[in-house]
Amino acid sequence: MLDVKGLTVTSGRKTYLKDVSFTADSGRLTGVVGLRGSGKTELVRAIMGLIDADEGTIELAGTELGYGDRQNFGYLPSERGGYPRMKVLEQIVYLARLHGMTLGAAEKNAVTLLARLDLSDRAYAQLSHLSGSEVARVDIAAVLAADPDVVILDEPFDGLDAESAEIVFGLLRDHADSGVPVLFTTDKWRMAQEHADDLIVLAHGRIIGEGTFDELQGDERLFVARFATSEDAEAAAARLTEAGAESVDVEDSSISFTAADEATAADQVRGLASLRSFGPRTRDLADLFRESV
Amino acid sequence: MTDKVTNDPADEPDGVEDIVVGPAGDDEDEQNLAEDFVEIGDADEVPEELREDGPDPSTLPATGLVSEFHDLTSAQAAYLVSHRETSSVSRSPLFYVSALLLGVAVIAALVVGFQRAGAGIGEAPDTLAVVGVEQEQADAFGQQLGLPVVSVEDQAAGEAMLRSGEAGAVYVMDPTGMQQASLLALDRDPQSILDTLNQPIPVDYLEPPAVASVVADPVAWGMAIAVALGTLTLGAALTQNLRTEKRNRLAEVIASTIPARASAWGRVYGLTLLFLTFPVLGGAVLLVGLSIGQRTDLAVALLPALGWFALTALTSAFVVLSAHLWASTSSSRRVRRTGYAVTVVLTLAGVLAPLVLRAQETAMLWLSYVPLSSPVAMPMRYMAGQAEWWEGLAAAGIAAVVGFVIYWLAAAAYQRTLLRGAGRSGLKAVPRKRRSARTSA
Repeated sequence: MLDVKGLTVTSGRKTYLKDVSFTADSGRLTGVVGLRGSGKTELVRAIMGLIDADEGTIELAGTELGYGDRQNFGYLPSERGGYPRMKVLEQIVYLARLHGMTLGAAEKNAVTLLARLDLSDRAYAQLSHLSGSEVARVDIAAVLAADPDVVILDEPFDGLDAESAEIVFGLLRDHADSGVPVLFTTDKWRMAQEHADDLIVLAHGRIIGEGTFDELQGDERLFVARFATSEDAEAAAARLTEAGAESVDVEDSSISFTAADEATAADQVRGLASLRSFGPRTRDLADLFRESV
Repeated sequence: MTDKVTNDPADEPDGVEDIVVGPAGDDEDEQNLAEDFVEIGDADEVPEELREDGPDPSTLPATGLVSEFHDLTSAQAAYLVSHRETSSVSRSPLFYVSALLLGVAVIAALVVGFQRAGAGIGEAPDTLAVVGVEQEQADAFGQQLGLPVVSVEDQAAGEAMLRSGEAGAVYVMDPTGMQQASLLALDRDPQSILDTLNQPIPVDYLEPPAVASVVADPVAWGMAIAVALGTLTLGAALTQNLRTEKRNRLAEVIASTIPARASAWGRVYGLTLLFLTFPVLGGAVLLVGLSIGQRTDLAVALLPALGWFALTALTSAFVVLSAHLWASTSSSRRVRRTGYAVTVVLTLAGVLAPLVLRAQETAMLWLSYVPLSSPVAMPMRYMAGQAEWWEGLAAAGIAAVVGFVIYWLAAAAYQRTLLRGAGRSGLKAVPRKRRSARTSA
């Protein structure tokens, strides 16, 4: 279990992270999601001990991490590429051995991972000869080859096509199932929603939402009502707001609003002029983020 | 009637126990087929020695990965980095081309050396001093030969003229008149005088050189090319690899796994050892070339100079590669470029200075102790017979000390700036503690 407690990172006048606290549980995939510039990379680098936090601590299984305690953390930086002239297998083995892994184990793991990532036929190719998706998969293999105690990935979807992303998340799921906390950052809402067990929503260096996707959705649901004209929609929105409806939003000839359940929502829209249709709408993570911000 | 067989027992023909029923003759085929197979029974019945040696699948984790670790010391981490650097650089086209160029340069130096020896190119003055004759006789002799000839009272006066450069040779007649006259020269053949005399005459040297200058000069050029080519090629590779690590943020992975100083030391010592390829290759081509040219005597005479060259070149390469590491650590592009240019210029100036100033003995003495110029100047002094045995050791020691000072500064800068350029600046690389051994299946 990886605990981040009260993490604050500043540089000059700029505040990258402000009092960030959360827990990445063992055996679960934790996704840190936010727009670019929201502080995801700084968070990852602070967890890895690559930048000094002004305040806060990082704990693994209740023990505060100091310098030198992250040797068997698997870390994927946000840039891709590795050593362009090095062969794929050599590269993975080299990076695994930097963690202190024996040569035999590193080679065995590299072969296993390349097979799972559908890269067996590229094992002896130079990295510069691989496609972007293949390079991204090699980077994932290099992170996992040392069988890390904690997996930290900064934007793991970058460079991956949809099929490769599925394969990679199959691997990460297996690692999580072996009792390892797996934490990744992304600005791809749908991917995070689909793959993460727990979500941390970050904006401007602060956590604005935390929990499973269901927990983030809360008790309120989103409903959409469509009208004949945009004028009717505007008038209906004004009436709904007067009636106490929340998060009322007008878009062309339709309005969206939140309500505790469908019956309550139906009561609110009943009798509105020129109502064409009404029904619930599933909110995705991006909607939740927009509402929160 | 059809031969269709179902799973219904009622359909089973009488007397047939097997559910598979085929046309006539199948029984025999099946029997033959059965004889071709060997029944191995259950896995428990497989002899122990024939069983595959592997872990029990039920004990393997879902990841399929093994987890075997050992304590990674700083020295082992440095070795891993050095191995990666050397294997990567030694496979690069730049390295191959540089090594090829060096081989060609040494062969060219050999050809030039042989030609110069054959053509008798020398730099001695063409004035001949003759002992024990009147000046009038000397003038007549000179007129006959077409050479400036001066008369000296005795051999000592002639030697003084040789040392002062007033004469290229002294014509010494045997006092007994029983033996052939000979020429006395300072340290090289007075080739123009020998050509003019047009008769075989033995030459004695006042200060006999270990290696004739006609050979020593091309060899010194070869040494300069080897040092310049080797250090600049490997320095460029070191710089490029560091930039790649910064650009791809591999520096962050390295910083989170091994001590920064181990990473710095690994790349400098690995490439310094790889540099040995250049003097060894150059020396090997030179010695083989001399042997083929039937100049094994020259090859043997060159060995001490080549040995001291290898040692001083190795320590000077350490200086240059440390300087490259230092120059490439800056997060400022302008500072990096300036540092790289200064290192290249100093390296080239260092190896070329002895070739330009080879006639000035005092300058050569100083240059033979200065890192960067010592790999060329010190062997030149050995080839001229001017250096004591310990001087090469002293020059290598000085270069090593200077190299360690520059390396210490470079490693400190590398540690300080390892994470710069890969995000926010002003960050300190993390010192790493040893991790405890962890071994599990």
